[in-house]
Amino acid sequence: MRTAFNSATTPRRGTSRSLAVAVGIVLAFGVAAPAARAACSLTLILVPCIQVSWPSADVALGNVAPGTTPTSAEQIINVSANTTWGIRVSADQAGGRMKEWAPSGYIFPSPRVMTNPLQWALTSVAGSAQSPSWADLSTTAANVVSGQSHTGCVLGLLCGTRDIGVTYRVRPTFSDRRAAPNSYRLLVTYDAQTGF
Amino acid sequence: MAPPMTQGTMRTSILAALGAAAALSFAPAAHAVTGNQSVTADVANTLEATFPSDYAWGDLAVGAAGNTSAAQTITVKSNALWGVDVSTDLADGRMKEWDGSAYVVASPKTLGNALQWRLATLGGVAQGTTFGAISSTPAEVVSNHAVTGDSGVTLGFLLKQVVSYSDVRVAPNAYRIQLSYDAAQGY
Repeated sequence: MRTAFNSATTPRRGTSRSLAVAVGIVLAFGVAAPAARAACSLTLILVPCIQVSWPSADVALGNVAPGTTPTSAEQIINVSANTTWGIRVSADQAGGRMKEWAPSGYIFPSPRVMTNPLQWALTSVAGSAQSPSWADLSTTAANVVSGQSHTGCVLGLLCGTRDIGVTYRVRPTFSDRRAAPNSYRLLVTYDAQTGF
Repeated sequence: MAPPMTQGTMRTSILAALGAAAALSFAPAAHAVTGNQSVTADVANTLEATFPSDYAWGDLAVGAAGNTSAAQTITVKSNALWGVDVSTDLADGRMKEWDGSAYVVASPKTLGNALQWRLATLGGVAQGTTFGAISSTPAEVVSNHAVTGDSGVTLGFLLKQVVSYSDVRVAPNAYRIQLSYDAAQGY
């Protein structure tokens, strides 16, 4: 009797992609000698998995004028998942307000801080435009999408994907002063998870 | 019921299990992944201002006390230090005869005294009471004023014209002068 076992995983290539495909196997294994009787059981468990390609570049809004509401280009998050999934977004600064930044880090002490928080909105799902509902960024994670259905992964080999589009906007005021040669910055963190 | 494994069979099983475990070590189970993206911007130096519309003074009275206009207002929004200048199109600041579309060319009549101005209020706070002559040389109304915020700052100023018995009526024409306001950052 011959027992064969194969497990294949194929991580997607891409510098900005995270490996997130997994096949977990719980194995109770018995290999019989030619003259012996044997019993083997094999249990295959598909572990919830998610693979994400984040926006490829940082967002540079340039010089923004008070009284206007500049908007970023849409940032695309590309997701493959084999179960229900969602994405959250948060910022590194309390209140979501962009803070004066020198090339080496945030200015300390007495940095300038933008009056209004940076705002985000979900602007497309799977290429379908969404009516933006602008919300302030903050250190508290906010749901960008949740309860998204699986994207069609089959054993990590044939994975469909879904694009999630997020757009940012800033609302400078006449109280916000130019920071050049520095700039204002906020670090956005995306958290993609299965199961919510 | 399966018979007990022999020693060789058990060794083989253990090796197979270890091999499978080793293969699986290349397939980490990821239930959550995070990514970061920075958003950067700077704020453009920006100034917005609203200026008074044309002012029709009507008939001026003769007398040393002069004629004082209604308050004229300029509202400025700026996110950097700013100032306002005022000047006229006529070199000596004296109002000149106007036919409704242009200054009269042939022997126009001109008022004997230059138009005067003074800053009356700045951000709602009363200012000095002294009028100054106005001319084609810009006069500083406000300079080095602080950042305004979105509410802006309103300047109220007054114009004054003294008319003497040397000034004659020009109807159906009128006397006219054009004021130019220059609100800018950096002074």
